[in-house]
Amino acid sequence: MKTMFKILASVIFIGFATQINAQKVFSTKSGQLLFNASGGIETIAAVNNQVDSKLASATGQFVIAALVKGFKFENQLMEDHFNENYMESTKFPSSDFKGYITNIKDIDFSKDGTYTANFDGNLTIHGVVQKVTTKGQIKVKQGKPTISGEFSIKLKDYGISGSYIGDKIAGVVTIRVNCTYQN
Amino acid sequence: MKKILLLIFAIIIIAAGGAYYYVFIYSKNHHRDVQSEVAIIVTRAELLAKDANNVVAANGKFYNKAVELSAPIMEMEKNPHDSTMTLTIGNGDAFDTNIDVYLKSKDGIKNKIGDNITIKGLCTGMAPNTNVKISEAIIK
Repeated sequence: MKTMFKILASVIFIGFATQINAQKVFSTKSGQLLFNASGGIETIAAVNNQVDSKLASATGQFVIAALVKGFKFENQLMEDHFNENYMESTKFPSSDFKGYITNIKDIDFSKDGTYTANFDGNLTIHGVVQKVTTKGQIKVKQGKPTISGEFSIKLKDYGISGSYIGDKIAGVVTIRVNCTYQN
Repeated sequence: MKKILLLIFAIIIIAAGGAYYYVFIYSKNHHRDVQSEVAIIVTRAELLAKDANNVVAANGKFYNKAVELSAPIMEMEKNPHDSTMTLTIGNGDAFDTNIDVYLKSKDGIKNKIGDNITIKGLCTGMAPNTNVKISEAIIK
């Protein structure tokens, strides 16, 4: 009877442990977002190395969230204009991309390798939500995944306006994502 | 008449030169230095005692201002992109809203999890369901 109980307990424990492993949620507070809106002679690009991101390995659910104030420009004046005149960061302090990796079953988080991932979600910028579908990569190394990808958005789709858009600032902006999960 | 024209031309040249210098040279070389600013000394409770459901209102008081506060280190993470350290400080409850501190220096730190530290940095705000973020921070 005691042996039976031990076997049963082991089976329950293994099942529970497998379940926990299957529901692993990876997270980081040090993800990276880069954007490039160079329209003319001047380079208009910024980087944010303070990006929050979570990724659930079982469901493919992900969230990438950044504070607008976290974007750093080479030029301080550009950074001030970006926050005050274009992104209105006091009114809309954050941006995020939430959704699912639709082919999560193709990604083996227990095996090192580079996998193609299909991201499907809602991108919120400047308080405007738009559906975004894009391809990216998930690189798994020693159990830690890194997601990377690049996509473009039209500023007018997010209600971002300004006199320099289309002239000095490109109307279509490229956004690059790079998040290495810590656990 | 010629002198007036020359004077106007000189003023235009000086103004254009000044504008070019300010926009393309000064602004590139002079970034905001939070550490030279007088910080608002706050407690963790004061920083977080806001309506978390209203991010704009929550960000209002300390957003974009230099703040200084003390709290124990809960988590440490090395940023793979710029080699700086990110510390989470707070009340020890990982499910509560805490404070993510992004250190300015690339030098490592001697502190460990559980140490009570005082930091000074720029409050960059909070997003829904995330911690309050303080960037360009130093440990005092």
